[in-house]
Parts: sequence; structure tokens; C-alpha cells
Amino acid sequence: MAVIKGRDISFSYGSGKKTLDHASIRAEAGELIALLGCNGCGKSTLVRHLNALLPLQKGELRVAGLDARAQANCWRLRRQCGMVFQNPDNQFVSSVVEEDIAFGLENYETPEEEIPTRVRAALAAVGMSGFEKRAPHLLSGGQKQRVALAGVLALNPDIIVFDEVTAMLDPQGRREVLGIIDRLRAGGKKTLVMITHYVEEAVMADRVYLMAGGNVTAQGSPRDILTDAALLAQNGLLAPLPVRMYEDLKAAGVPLERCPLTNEELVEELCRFA
Amino acid sequence: MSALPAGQFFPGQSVLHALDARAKLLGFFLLLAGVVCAASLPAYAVAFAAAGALLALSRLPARAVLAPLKRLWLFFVLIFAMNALFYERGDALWSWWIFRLSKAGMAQGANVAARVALMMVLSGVLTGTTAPMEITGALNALFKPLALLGIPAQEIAMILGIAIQFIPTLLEETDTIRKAQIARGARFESRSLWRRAASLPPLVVPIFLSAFRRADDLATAMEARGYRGAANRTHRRARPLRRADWFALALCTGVCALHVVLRVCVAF
Amino acid sequence: MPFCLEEVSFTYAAGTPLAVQALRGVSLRMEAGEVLGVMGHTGCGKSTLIQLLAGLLVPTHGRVLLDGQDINAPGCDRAALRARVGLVFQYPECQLFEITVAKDVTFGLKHSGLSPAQKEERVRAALETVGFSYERMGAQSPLALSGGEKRRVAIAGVLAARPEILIFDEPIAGLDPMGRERFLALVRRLNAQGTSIVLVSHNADALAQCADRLLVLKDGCVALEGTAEQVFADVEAARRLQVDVSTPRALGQMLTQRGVAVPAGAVTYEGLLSVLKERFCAGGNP
Repeated sequence: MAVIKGRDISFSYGSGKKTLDHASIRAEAGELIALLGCNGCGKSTLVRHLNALLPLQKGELRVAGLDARAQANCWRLRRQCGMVFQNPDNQFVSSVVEEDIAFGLENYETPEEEIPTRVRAALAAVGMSGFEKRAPHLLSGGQKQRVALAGVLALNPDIIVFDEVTAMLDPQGRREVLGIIDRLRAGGKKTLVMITHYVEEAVMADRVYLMAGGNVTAQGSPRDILTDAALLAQNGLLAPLPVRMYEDLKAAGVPLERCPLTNEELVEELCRFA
Repeated sequence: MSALPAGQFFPGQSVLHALDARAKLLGFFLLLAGVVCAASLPAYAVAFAAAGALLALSRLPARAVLAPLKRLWLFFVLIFAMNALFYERGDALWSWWIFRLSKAGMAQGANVAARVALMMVLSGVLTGTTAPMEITGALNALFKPLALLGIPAQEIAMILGIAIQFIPTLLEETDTIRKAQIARGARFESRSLWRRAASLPPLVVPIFLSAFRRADDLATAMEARGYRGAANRTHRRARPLRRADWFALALCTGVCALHVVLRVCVAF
Repeated sequence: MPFCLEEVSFTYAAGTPLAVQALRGVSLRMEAGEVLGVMGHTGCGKSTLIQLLAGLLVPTHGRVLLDGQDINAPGCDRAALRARVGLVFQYPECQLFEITVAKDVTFGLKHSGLSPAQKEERVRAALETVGFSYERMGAQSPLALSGGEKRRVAIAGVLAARPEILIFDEPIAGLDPMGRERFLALVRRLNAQGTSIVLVSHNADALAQCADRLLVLKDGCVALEGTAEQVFADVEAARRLQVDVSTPRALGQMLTQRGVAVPAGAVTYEGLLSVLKERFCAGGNP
């Protein structure tokens, strides 16, 4: 069942140049899709339609059964589709963690008695139990993003969008956040949309959408998209290291068979050969 | 940043740390009102004793709380001099051109300087013992009755809260931008006032741009989490004040009342 | 032009209850023309270190020496020192403020005593170094540019002063693959022209590619120092210091554990590729 169904979405910020040009996107319930592309390719603009942060100018879009064109659906859409943003510092409304997580719950008029339980559950889900009373600005980048995610999880949305959430983090923070995205994916209850320009992150997705110049230029399984070095290069991206290594070794005459996607697969392939 | 910013919070376990922020904020306003009333030596004795006692009770590092006073010494000298030399009433002790030194003027100068100093110590103790978020919460609670008058109290409290939560980030960013421009040859430390003024745009423009960008990002993030104004939100019930809080409030009221009495009964 | 730190310590908010010691007795020597990579977990003292190098902070203990002269000694001309050391902060694109790109790049030359024609020449050269044409770019508003372009303009603003030593704090954070490659090419080009470069980065792959020497900080101390081959040799040690080894080195380690021995020195893509080619191609050549 498609949870996100968007067709021919076009959008311009008013300067005449189209930021999105007939982009189409689709996500099935419970899958993780990755939107992969260079800076400025329209990824963020596209996902901001999913929760009606941007109005639909042209095209069709249904999210969680709601028509994104109807203004009346705006609030319900935002509840169904949570979003975590790139800059970990710019998404907190309170200087104390538990109050920040409660913010969304209060917006949807959750009864006061229910709030502490849901805040605790959300923090536990991102491995941040015990941080209730802390100040967000004193946390590490990875912890900030986990708190921001807890703020979204507390609302129990069907869909969660991650808008380049690892771009400003150090390797440790990236691992923390990616680990949680992977756990959510394994849970299979949420539909996840991940925007990234790191090809290595797109490997964990069920399906990859490649974007360039406001268009979806290709889509398919990570294996189809990420092993196609020429296609990635056309879109301004570099193939993952294992793919490049495989191509270069093959060009040098090493008869490897299966193109590896991850470091583990590359090691496996080389060991099998050796 | 080798010096701490004024109003820095120091976590601790003192009696003052433990009080409810609403009681502290109300008590602070009562004491301020008292300070404003003070105009005689006994009144200042009471006020300074109260401030000193609070500073001792808070167990804050006195040096850090009093540092802003030290940094503003020129300001105090100026306040005193302006009042002493330009006060119109009272007999002139000495006068030349537009200057006119008078006893009443000196008293007035000492008054203003002492009041500002007291206010700074009191606010230093308040912010030193109360986490910023507790102050926002307290403001929020104290603002609530204003809603009855049609003032958007919740919105104001929310704006204050967000502003407070952004202060550390913006301070840090200001520091970075300042350093970046110094590294490129900007001379903020120049003693010439003119040069200093000319060196402001490299600092102010990026800070404003960044503040706007952050505000924009935050507004988007708030909308994404379903914010649509304060009206349709869960309203939290306030926690009652404890006995210690009432006791502290009573003490502050007492001090304030004493000041009023002193004002009425004791002439300078 | 050796650049040295001698037993440098630094404490923030010294003398208050909130004092934090960021560096503890760090000694370091930088040779002319080298690229020094600095790694370490968040809060290890990297930012403090580069601000000390640039003369923006004064050490609590110890000395910072440029050409044997203590840069914080009374009577030392700090402005002259700052002209010799260029510092590009993290996200420098946030520090642009002028109405045109050319003006912004010129800002650092304000007190240089150069003639307007010389300044324009410097700005032109700096913009060309980062891949922009003065004619096409000079009159544009920095605000109208994309994030990556803004960052290049900001870098040009530091290059215009022609510093002998360039310090970059997390220069590739947030850049997409093209931006990353372009930046690394810039570092190589500047270094080939004789500029010494300090690169602070979490990106082990990028550092393995272009740093002559690496410094790993932990809790304000130098925990490890050497070439990328030496620093990444012990994968476990690096992990204990909370830094990544380069991906090719990690792959080499995995292969070695599986019985396909790869020397620890293969820390770059090219290095690993040639090892694997030699190992798997008959006679080393196809």
C-alpha cells in the first residue's frame, strides 16, 4: 500500500526558475526510501511538500491517505508525517529536553496527564532516557538530533522524514543517528524518507530515488542505482568505494563476479576470489 | 570568551537554588521596588545587608557575580559625576560655566549609582541561582493573569523562552564571527571609537543574517510539529508553591515594606 | 618559517567555577610547506588549538612561536602575525557580510597598505584560485550564491591576504562529493605553491589523501602523531581515541583478518587498489 504517492510535482520559489520540475515519488508502508542528490537538486523542496510545509503548486500528492492539496488537511498531514531537520541547533523551542519534546504533544492538545509518559517513551526509543532535564544546547550533535527525533516520535507519526540529519554531525554522531534510523526501519512500523548526499547512507534504504536539477532522474533498489557508477557521475555523485574498487579491479583484469555495495560485501567477494 | 557573561547560571544546592522560580521572581521584583524606594542611609544599610545576605545564602562565587559591577566602574563614575555636576536643586558648593556642584546633586548621584549596583547584584543572584528555563517558566506563570486583559501572555512567554534558549548559541556564534573577522584583519580592539564603529558591519551583518536564518529554520520546525498559535494547545496546570517559597516571599514583602516605612519616616 | 607550540595549556573561564581546561601541555612543531591533519573527538581541543595558532587566544601556560618569536609576547605585532596566518572557520559562508563578492574578498586587505590596483589583483587571483572568474562573480551579492559557492568565496577572502600558513576547521563538512573533491584539489594546489596547511577534520579518508602528518588529540593532549600510515596502523588504538581510520585502511584490516594480508600502509584508495591489483592480477599486471 502506497503511503506516499506524488506525481509530477513542480514548484518554484517565485523567481521563475523551477526548483522542482515534474518530480514523482512513491513510498510503500514500512519502507525506507532514500532521496539522493547533490546540494541544490531539490530534495528538501520535494519532502517539504509531504507535510504541507510548502503548498502544492502543481501535480498530485497523497500522503497517508490525505490529499495534500486541501489546506484543511495541513495539520493532520503534519501529525502523520514528522520531520527532523539538518541543523541540530535550530529546531528546539525550549531550553529543557522534556519540555521540548512535549511541545508537539501540546500542539495537538494531548491531555496533560499523558504527556510525561509519552515524553519518557520517546526518549527511551532514541536511547536518551535520563536526559529529561538537560539543556539541548549542551548536548552533542548526535544527541541533539536524537532529541529532535524523540520530539517527532512522541507524536507517533506514520511517516518520518530525515532532511540531511547527519550532514552537520561528526562520525560518532552520524553513527548514533543512522543506528536509530536503522532500528526504526527494522521495526517496520514507520515509513521513512531519508535525504542525503552520502551515497554510503543510501545503501541502507529499500529504494533509492536519484535527484538532479529538480527531477527524479532514476529510481530503483540501492543495488541498481548505487552500482551504476556512470549514472551516479551523471548526477554529480561518486559511487560508493566498494563499487569503485570493484570496477577498477575488473578493469585491471581481476575477474570478480558480483558488484559489492558495502565494505563487508567487498571483503567477502575478494576473500572468495582469493 | 575568558570572562563569563553577566547573568550566568551556576548550578548548585543552596537554599536559593531550591526555591521555586516564581517565588524568586516575585521576591526579586519586591526587593527591586524596595531598592527604588530607598533614599536614606538606614534604607541603604537595609538594602545592602539584604543583598549581601542573599549573595551569601546563594553560595555563588561572589567574584563572578560582582564582576559586572567592576566592568562598569566607568559607568558608575559617570552616573555620579553627571548627577553631582548638573543637579539643579540645592545650594551650589562650586560652579563654573555649565557645571554646578551641589550637595543635593552628589546625594542624587550616590542614590542612582547605589540603586543600579543593588539591582545588578540582585539580578546576578537571581540568574545565578535560577536556570534560564525556570525563569521562563516563572514568567510564563506570572504572565497568565495578563491573558484576562487581552494581552497574548502565552505568546509572549513562548517568545521569551525561545529567545532565552537561543542566547547561548548566538553568543557562541558572535564570538566565532568576531574571531573570524579579527583573523582577517578586522580591528575591533581598536581604541578609536570611530574605527570601532566602522568595524561593526562585518560583525552585525552576519549575526543578523544568522539570527534570521535560525528564526526561519525554527519557525519551519515548529510548524512541522503542528504549532498554530497558543490558543489550541494543552494548558498545563501550575504546581502549588511550597512553604519555603511562601516564607521567602513573606520575607521579601517585609523588606519591601520596611523600605516604604523608611522612605516615609526617615529624611536624609 | 617553523611554527611551534611549546607546552601550551589553555583554560576557558579560568578562575571561575565553570573553568574548563581545553588543552594540557601540547607541544607541536610544523615545518614549512607541510600539510598537517588534526583529528579528535568533539571537545578534544581542536578548535582551541587552531585559535591559539592564529593568535586569537592567548595560552594560559606555554608559548606559541612563529619563526622563533613568541607571538603573544608584549610588543609583538599581532596584526602582522595575523596576516601571515590565515584561518578559515567552520561554515565560513556564515561570515560573509559585504554587498558584493569582490568587496567581501577585499575586506582582509583593508589594513594591508596595498594600492587599489594591487588589491584588485589579489582579489582576482584569490577568486581564480577557488575557481571563480572575477568578471562573472565579483559584482554579485554573496547572498545570491549557493552554500558551496559561498564557502569558496569565504575561502577566497582568506586567500587574498596570501597567508604563509592556512588553517581550515572542518572545511568539507556539509559539502557534496563534487564540493569535497574540489576542495581537496584546492588544498593540493595551495600546498604545491608553498603554503603550509593545517586541516582539522573528522574525515579520515580526506586526511589520508592529503595530509603529510596527522595529529590526534584526546582530552586536550596529543595522543598520537605521525604519518597517516603510522596513525592508522593500529585500528584498535584509533578507535579507543574515538577517531575513524580511513575506509581503505579499515578494508585492509578486514581483509587481513580474513587471511588476505594487506599492509597497514595502504591508507588511501590508490594505495589499497595497487596492493589488491598486485595480489590478484597474475604477475601484478593484467
